[in-house]
Amino acid sequence: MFGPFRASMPTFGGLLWKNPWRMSKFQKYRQRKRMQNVDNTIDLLSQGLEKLGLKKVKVIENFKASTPKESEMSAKDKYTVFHKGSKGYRKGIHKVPKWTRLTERIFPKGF
Amino acid sequence: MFYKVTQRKSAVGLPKVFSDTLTVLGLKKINRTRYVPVSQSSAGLIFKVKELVKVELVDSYKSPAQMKSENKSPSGIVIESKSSN
Repeated sequence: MFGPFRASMPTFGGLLWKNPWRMSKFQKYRQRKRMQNVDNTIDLLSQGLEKLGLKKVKVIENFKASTPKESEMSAKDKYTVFHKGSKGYRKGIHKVPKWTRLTERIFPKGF
Repeated sequence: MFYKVTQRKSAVGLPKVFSDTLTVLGLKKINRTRYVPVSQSSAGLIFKVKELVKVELVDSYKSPAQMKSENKSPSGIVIESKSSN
């Protein structure tokens, strides 16, 4: 009953989702670090332009105006995303494909 | 003034725009670093791939060859003299 051929739900075959519903504290930590890296990058981009006295870039300014920083977000918004099919209209962000390379911080109001 | 851009994540599986943008920035592999002059267009390019890169703001430029020579470990031997023949 031990080893690689033990009888468990995944080895019995069929489609079985093995990622848990909740993120671990380590996944959350890395998620926070990734978000902070994006915030830092945005700051540096506009800092560089400012130092050289260049015009602001529209996309970056729009992003700054519309998107909250990691430090300003609630835990709910950091680790879950809007999902119409889920109970409570939220699912873990780790269920989103390519989630470590996406920035999703704006959700419908009230959800 | 330069953006020191280091690729931290791959663009595999993402839309082609991402890998194209990385190529324009001179990035091909994870942990590659390139110095990009600060300008509106370069800021826009880096913004496009902000999740894949790490950025620092620096004053001086370093060429890829320069970075490579700095990364080289010492050979471990010192040549004191060479024979004439």
